[in-house]
Amino acid sequence: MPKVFLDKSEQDSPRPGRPPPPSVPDFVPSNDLLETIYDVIIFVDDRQVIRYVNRAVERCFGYGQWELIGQPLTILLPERDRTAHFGHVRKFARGKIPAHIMAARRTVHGQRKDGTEFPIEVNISRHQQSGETFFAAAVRDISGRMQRESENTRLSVLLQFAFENMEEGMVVYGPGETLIAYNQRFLSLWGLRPGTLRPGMTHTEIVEAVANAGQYRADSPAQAVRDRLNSFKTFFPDDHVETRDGKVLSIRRRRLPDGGFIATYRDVTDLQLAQRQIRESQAKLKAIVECAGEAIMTLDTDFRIETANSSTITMFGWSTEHLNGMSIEELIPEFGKYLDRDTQGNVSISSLVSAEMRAKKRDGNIFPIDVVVSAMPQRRTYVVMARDISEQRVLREQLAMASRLSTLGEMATGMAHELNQPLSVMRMAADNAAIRIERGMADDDYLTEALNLIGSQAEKLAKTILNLKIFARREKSDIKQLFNPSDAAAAACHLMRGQLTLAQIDVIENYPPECPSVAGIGIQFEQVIINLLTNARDAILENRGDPAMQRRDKITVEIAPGKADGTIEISVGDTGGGIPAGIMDKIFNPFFTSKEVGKGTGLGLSISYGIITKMGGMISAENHGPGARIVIVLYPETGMPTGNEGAAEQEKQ
Amino acid sequence: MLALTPDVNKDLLPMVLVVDDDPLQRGEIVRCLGDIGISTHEAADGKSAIDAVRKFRPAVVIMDIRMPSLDGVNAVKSLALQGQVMPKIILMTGDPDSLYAANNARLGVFAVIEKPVPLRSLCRFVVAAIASEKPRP
Repeated sequence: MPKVFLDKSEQDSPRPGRPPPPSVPDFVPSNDLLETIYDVIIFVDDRQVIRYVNRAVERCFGYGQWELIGQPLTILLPERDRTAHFGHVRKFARGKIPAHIMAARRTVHGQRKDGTEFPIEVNISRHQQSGETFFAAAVRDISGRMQRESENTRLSVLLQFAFENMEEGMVVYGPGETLIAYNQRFLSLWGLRPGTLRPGMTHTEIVEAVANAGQYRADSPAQAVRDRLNSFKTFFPDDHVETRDGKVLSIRRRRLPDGGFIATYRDVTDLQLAQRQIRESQAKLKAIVECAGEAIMTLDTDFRIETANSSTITMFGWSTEHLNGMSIEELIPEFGKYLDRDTQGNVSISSLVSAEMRAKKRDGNIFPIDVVVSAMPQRRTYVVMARDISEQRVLREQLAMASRLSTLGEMATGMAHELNQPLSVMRMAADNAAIRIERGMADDDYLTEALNLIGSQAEKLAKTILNLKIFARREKSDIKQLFNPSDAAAAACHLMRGQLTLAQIDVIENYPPECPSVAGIGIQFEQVIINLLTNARDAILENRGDPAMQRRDKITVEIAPGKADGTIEISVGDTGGGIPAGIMDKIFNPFFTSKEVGKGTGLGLSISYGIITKMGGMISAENHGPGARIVIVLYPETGMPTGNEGAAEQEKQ
Repeated sequence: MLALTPDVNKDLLPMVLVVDDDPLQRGEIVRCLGDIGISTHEAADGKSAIDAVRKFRPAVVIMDIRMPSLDGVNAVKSLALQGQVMPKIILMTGDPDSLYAANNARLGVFAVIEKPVPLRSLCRFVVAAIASEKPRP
């Protein structure tokens, strides 16, 4: 550690090549103190040569203390500043001021040993000692401070920017409720011209300014001021105000720690409008839901009822209190069938379920409904809409009945023949037997034969009548049961035989010995076959030209295993010339008919289509040989694709 | 009681053709006529009826109207067109429409009877029809 030469004795022994260190006057603090000072202390002589430097220089500039002794001061300055430095020193030396803080007007930089530069603050002082001038410099590394300052500046610039550009108008009051700051947005929200406000204005003065600008809704500005000041006395932290030009402003007031407060103004006109519109549309929606004839319910994730409209109450007979939290399965017992359960036991419903189900009223009555269930997007709520289709069912039954009756009417002619034939035989056999008895010609064998004949004919008659009765009976419900398609087809042919014979059409029936049963409604299937036989007959009759030129037309009814495994195929083919390609895809449409006006209703095939598809089967048409062929594919009872067994189960109870 | 004098030569007795597509009904009519000594031939439809008329020249034809192939009414018309001596024709039918149509068609038939036919009445008609015929040389 270099010593500060305090005593003159050392001056007397100069080292070779080095000028003697200047003697340090008494006012200079001692070595130890200088060594502990944080700032860099440099003593230079009048030639700007460093005579002493403290330990701090190592930390600040990176030089060892002894390295710098005898070096020019400028070594510690960047190259570009060195020349200027001499000029400054000269001026300083000649000037009257004994001390000077450099960098008052511009940044001074120091240069470290490694060449890096850093901002410094320098205090220099001039001293005289034994006729010599020397300078003391105290150097401080201000890079930290400069960085903080520049950050503060930057921060304050940002804050200023934010303040001016924020969405809200803001006013800052200091203690004593005097204006400190405001932004442009505040002015524009209140319609104030720039310059209307000045820092230092009191809150009252500001209120007056706003009132004078006509923005308060009041009879007069003075009244507005009174109103505002009155309301302000209680200092509502949050508030709403309506300006005269129709804006709604939301006001937030927060106290500042030092006693002032900040008021923020936000234009919520649009927000309020949107909120009002939402409320209105919610009210409208609620009204629609309430007015709807359908029962509309929302369910939670456990399928319990959250909300239900009034139609739900009238439809099911439960009150709102009961419905709240009720499981949907209490109203619709078979609802569970439509839920998917995964391996973790989570229950969900496929995205949209639309089906006819059976519902239960409070009094236990079962009635049919048409249900649509949909899951809300977040899948936390379900919406259920149900329509009571009891009346529709009745109408459907009536339509089906009417259709059967109309078919019956068509069959009447053939019926008469069919019934009369056994009757005729019975009558004549009885007559013959009576005549023979009268004549004494009746032996036991003959009588037995005659009575047997009468009996068998009576049975035949009874069977025909039974078929008719079954066909004409009103079906009470749509419950599917097992029936044998070959029995139904045979019954249909039986009913139609008379008519077809009269029309000179042979009927060929081809049924397998063991025909599996199918789930469906037997007499509806029978009706379909009758419909197909009727159509075949009509086609044949139309296609016949000259009645004298009679060929043997025939209708073939066949039952066989279908192309797909496990299916049954029932076909009715005719020799009636076939279906024109142009109408092939229309024939199952309701009210489509190729018959002349007044003859065909066009309902038959579309009703048949409906019956077959409701059974889960398929019906199609094709041209085959000398005529057309209608093919029905059905699934035996084990392979029914739709899940309506549950309905049948329940009915059995 | 219906009977004919037993010493009548059966070969000279007029013969009746019974036409119906139902063999059971035919059978009863044939039995009834046979019981009173009238010989019969049978046919099952209009076409074979015409052939049988030509072949056997029956005195009376009992014919069902509703038959496949050629029905009774058309058979009558066909026969009339043939220009031969027409047998007496008794038409039968179970169908009221056919009955009505046949009555109105002015076919020149002897009678039209509604089924089911009471056999006694039928036999009376047959006998009456035979009786009204002039004996053939």
